[in-house]
Amino acid sequence: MKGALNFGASRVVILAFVCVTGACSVAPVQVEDATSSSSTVEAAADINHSAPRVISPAKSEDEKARAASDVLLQQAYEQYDHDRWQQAVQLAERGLRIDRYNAHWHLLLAKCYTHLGDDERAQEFVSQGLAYAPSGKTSLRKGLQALMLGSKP
Amino acid sequence: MSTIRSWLIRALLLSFFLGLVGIVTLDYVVREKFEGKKWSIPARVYARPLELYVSKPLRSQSFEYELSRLSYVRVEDLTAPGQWLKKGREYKVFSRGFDFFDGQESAKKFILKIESSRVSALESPSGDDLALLRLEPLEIGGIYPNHPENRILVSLLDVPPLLGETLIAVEDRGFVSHFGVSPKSILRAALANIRAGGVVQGGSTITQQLIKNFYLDSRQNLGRKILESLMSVLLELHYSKAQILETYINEVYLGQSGAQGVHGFGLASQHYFGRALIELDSVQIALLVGLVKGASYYNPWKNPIRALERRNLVLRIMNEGQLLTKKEYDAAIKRPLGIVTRVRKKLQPYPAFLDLVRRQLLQDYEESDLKTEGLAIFTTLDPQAQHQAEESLSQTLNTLELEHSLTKGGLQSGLAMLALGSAEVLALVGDRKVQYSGFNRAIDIRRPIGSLVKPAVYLAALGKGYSLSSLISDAPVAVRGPDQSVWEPRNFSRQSHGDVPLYKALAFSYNQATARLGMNIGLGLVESTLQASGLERSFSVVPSLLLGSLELSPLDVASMYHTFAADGFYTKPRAIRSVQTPHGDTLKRYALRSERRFPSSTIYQLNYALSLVMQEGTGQRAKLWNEAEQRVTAGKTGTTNNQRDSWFSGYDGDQLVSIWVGRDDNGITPLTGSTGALRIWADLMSHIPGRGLTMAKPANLEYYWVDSATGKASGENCRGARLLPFEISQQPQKKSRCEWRKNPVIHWWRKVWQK
Repeated sequence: MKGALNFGASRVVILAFVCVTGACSVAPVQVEDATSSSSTVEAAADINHSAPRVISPAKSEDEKARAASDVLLQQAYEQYDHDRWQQAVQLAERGLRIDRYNAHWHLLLAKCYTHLGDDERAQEFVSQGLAYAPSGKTSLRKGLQALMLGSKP
Repeated sequence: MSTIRSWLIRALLLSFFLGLVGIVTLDYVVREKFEGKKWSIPARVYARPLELYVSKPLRSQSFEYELSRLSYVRVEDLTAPGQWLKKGREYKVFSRGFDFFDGQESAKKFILKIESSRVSALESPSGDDLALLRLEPLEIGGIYPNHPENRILVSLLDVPPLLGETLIAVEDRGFVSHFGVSPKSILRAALANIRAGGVVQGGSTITQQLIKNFYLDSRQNLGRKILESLMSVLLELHYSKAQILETYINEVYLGQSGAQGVHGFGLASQHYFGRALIELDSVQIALLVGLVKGASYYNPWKNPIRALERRNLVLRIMNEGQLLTKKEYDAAIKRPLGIVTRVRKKLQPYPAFLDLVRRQLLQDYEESDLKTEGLAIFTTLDPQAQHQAEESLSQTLNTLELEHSLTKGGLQSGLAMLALGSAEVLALVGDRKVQYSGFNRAIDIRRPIGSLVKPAVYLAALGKGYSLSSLISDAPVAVRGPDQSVWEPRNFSRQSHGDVPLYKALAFSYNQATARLGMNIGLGLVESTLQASGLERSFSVVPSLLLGSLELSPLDVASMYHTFAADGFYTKPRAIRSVQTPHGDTLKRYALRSERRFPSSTIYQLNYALSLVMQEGTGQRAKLWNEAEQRVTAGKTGTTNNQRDSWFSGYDGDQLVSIWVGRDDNGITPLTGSTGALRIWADLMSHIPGRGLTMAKPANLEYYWVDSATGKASGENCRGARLLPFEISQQPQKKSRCEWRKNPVIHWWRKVWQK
């Protein structure tokens, strides 16, 4: 009898645990954000065979494509450092065509347009950059937020 | 007697004076034109340059197509720019250089590998990784002046030295030493003409030919010959031999392309060989020099044997003049003409896209400037995408007509394709006859868009507090208008579906649920949502707006959907990147701008629902025509009353395509959005490499399992559960009853191991 009770109790514990871990939980399903490297979304979709494929979270290009982006970014900042804002803008637009989620381009564009006196356009790129920049207190976010506050770069 | 002498002296003095005035006038005419703007040069329009870097989506066929359009020649060994070869999956290319706005891309050899529709390696011949390089942009057309001349200006630096030497050897051996006219040549020609009893030989020098072409017309008589000689001497007095030769090289008539005369060796090189002048070899130079004598008579497409004989004569003169060795000459005369196919040269490609470019340019430039100033217009056209869009559109329409037993040629279509993020127009098709430059359906049609409007209705609802699991009734709905008329929309299937969650109503395009939802949130909100998405046209704000009574073109629709696809940022579609002067200075840039129009959380939810359209809703037919496709895509079908219009607008992570299919007479078709326009879209996307739809998940949004019937919280092991994105503040609160799909212990155990 005691054994049966123990079995029943343990079953309740297991079922309660199962409930908590997914079957009837309202806890959010963790989804990777733009900075995370996990692929929880795809895994979650795989678990439930009836669930549709989920939109992949936006990520900046992979490491190999990053090389192209980095070379351009370096060239663009060389132009920027020599006060050639328009040339830097053109290179940044070229970079965005390769890697449109790389918020470094938005930061550079916002800086250039601030120098060019086009604050409205600068703020547009700040807004877009913040949407794509990795979460957390990164220097990239700080740079974008500083521009949003109206500080001169 | 003295009176007669006096009159004679006066007559002589007057003649001398008049002659002097005549010569001064002639001198003015000669100098004025030679030093002024010599020619009207049409604006040249270029496609985007192909950027190459590791991981770029690119298919082998597309890369080879691009090389072919750029007239790269497949060879066994790379020896000069404009060549390529292939070994296995590895391409070796010798690119041409190009002066871009941000510096010169020099001609270089590189190795490119393509695997799984992506660039997997990009290296120098020595094996060093190359981060990035560009091919030169393809010239796709021009904006031509009304007068029938066209040319590409070249300086002597762009001219192979052999061309000048051959021209002199064939046309005017004494060019370097004479003073504009050559008495010896005139005498020789006169004797030949007397012997033949007519004009069989000209004694004109290169300078005289230039005077005739540049200042005079083709009439021949003694007076004009004297005038020509005088002007030649004056020209030589003022200008160097190099200046005269350069002008001649740019002026001479060398053929015809439609209504346009092909003038100068720069354009002739492109016209006959599809290559830059500097790239021509001795055999190609010989053909072009041979054409100087009579471009029409020696037309190599119409009279290939005659042209070959003329070319070989030039080659013989080159050999005699020691411009070619005997060995080179023997090899050269065995070679074919090697000209490009005539059909390709005759047709003006991409008329719909060039039409858009011209319209956008005319907002900033006078038409006369576009036709005369030699501007370089750098556009956004992707030749690979354009080619595939044309193929998919015309072939699919043929198939549809066959399958539905329709009159051949009765269906028409318009298509607009944008790059995600930049909203650059990658491709535009305005007619199923893709070379036809008439009515441009991609821009100019105005057709009701049907259910393509629905995303705006749902986006407005999401912004007003609805979630994707909110239930809405799909029961019949009736709306009384101000004129007491009643609007009673019905579902396409004529069936009602009870209470349905928002995501399902959109995925399956339920009209009744959408109409009810739209009336609940208000027409004004739908109107402002449409305007915020980038719609610039005016439209009537009436209940039928909710089901797409507004009339748009494919480009309008693409602009609207781009805002949805690009995370809620509006960017106006652009076909032009920049305009440059002939000297490479940037006149104007069409810079990118992106304005936030919708909150990221509502846009994310909308895109999730639009991806369900493709996975299980009205767009899932795309899988039928493209089983191998694994990309996550999003989109929406649209069908109007009596199936007069078939629409589809959809996107992956890289590009967006909006398509209309219908009849020009607004007739009934057997097509819905999913059986017509979607089919073109599916075929096109299956041939275009791209990445699956990606979106930055906003911080205030999480995925939760909900019961699809009740919209209440559920779990992943519960039957009928759906994973949906919610704003955290809207997370489902009440739990639904859970009917387990699998034994919960097994489910838990598997999940533990998966973790």
